[in-house]
Amino acid sequence: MSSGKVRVFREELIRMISILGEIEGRRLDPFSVDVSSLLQRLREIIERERDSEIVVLDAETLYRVTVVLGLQQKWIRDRASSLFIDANLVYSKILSADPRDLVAAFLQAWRPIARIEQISVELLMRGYEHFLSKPARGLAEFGGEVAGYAQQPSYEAIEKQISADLRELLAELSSRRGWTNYWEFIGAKSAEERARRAYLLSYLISRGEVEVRVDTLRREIWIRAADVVSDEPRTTSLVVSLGRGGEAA
Amino acid sequence: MSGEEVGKLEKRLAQAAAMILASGHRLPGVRGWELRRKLGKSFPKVMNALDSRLRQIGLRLKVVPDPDAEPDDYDKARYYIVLADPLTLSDIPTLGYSLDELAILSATLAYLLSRNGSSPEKEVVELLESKYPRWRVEATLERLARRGYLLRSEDGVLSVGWRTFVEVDKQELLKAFASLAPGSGEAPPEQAAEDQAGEEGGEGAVED
Repeated sequence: MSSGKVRVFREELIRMISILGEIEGRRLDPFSVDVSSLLQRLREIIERERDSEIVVLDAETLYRVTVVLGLQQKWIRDRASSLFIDANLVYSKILSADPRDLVAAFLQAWRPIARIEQISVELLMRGYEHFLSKPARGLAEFGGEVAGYAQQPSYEAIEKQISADLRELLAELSSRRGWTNYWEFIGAKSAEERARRAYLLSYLISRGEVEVRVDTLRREIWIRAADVVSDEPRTTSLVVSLGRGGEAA
Repeated sequence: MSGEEVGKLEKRLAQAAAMILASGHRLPGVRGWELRRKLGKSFPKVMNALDSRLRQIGLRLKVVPDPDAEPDDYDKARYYIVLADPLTLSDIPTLGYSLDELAILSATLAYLLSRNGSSPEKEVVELLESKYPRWRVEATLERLARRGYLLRSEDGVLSVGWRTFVEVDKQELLKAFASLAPGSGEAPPEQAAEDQAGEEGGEGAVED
């Protein structure tokens, strides 16, 4: 068997899978496909070609056919329950009826859910107890000492600190020259420090100051300081697993 | 049944009604297993008693099987309390819907149910556009989808939503449509006025 014929069969099977998938995914009329002739064609293909890829595609097509057969069964059951009232009849009734008549027809079949949408006293008390059981935020964060606003660093001071940290991290990456392994770069003794470096690095990447290369086959991420900062919007997400050997990112 | 047993049953009825009516979930109603946990193994008997009691005040219990489970799996089924009797046109102002919104809901559901529950949204919009302006149709479909009557998929298919399965009797609706007498098919005067208001930027009675 020539490779040309294999290619033709493969494309034919892929087309069948696509059509059957469309019927399932878009909930189209499952009777729009002639299952018996499809099965006949599948048989012909598998008898003429036993290439492993063809066999796999044939099995996939057969599976899709069974799904469509299931949909056909459901379709018949639903049609029976809808008294075989045709969609065209309903369509014409909608076009010719007055909105008030449409509502009157609906009201005959509509039984709205009764529901109380207000909080109960019991739930309110449970919420109150939970509120009382929570420690005050100031006490929890500063080991029991109440901290005033005066002791909190100002927004400008935090921003200045972060900018300095970002510059320091970028300088460290630039000094390495060339591509550096992501995990090696953010690696540190403590999980907190790893998380801090990964967090700061994500800013540098978003700002285009660090380039990223993902090797999906080896599952490796490489980074390097960008020679020129890109002005283009960066919309690609880079997902880094938190559970990688207990490392934080 | 002794006085003590009656008292116990009364208490269970109150618990069951509270669970179903005031469920704290995002969706109304409760699962059978939740009722079983609270009321014990005999919860189906309590449900029957609750249904009888509810019918006295124009409500009834509705059990909707889980679509992914067996029809008689009452643990996974969802229990709701619904109105027992049909509403009338004069009840509409208290429901939070305008007449036109209900007309759009009615036409959409009848069309979808006659097509086994789903259809391309484009087709539905084209059908409804014969009576209402497009902005009104789209805004109302959006609201109805939020309420759970309709389900919109990313690939442009409109289907009936979970609330329709609970609240609407499919066969009753289709029967009502089949027996609809041909009307004038023209928009009522109030609709014409609303259309004009909509074109001027307002959204009429749509609320949520």
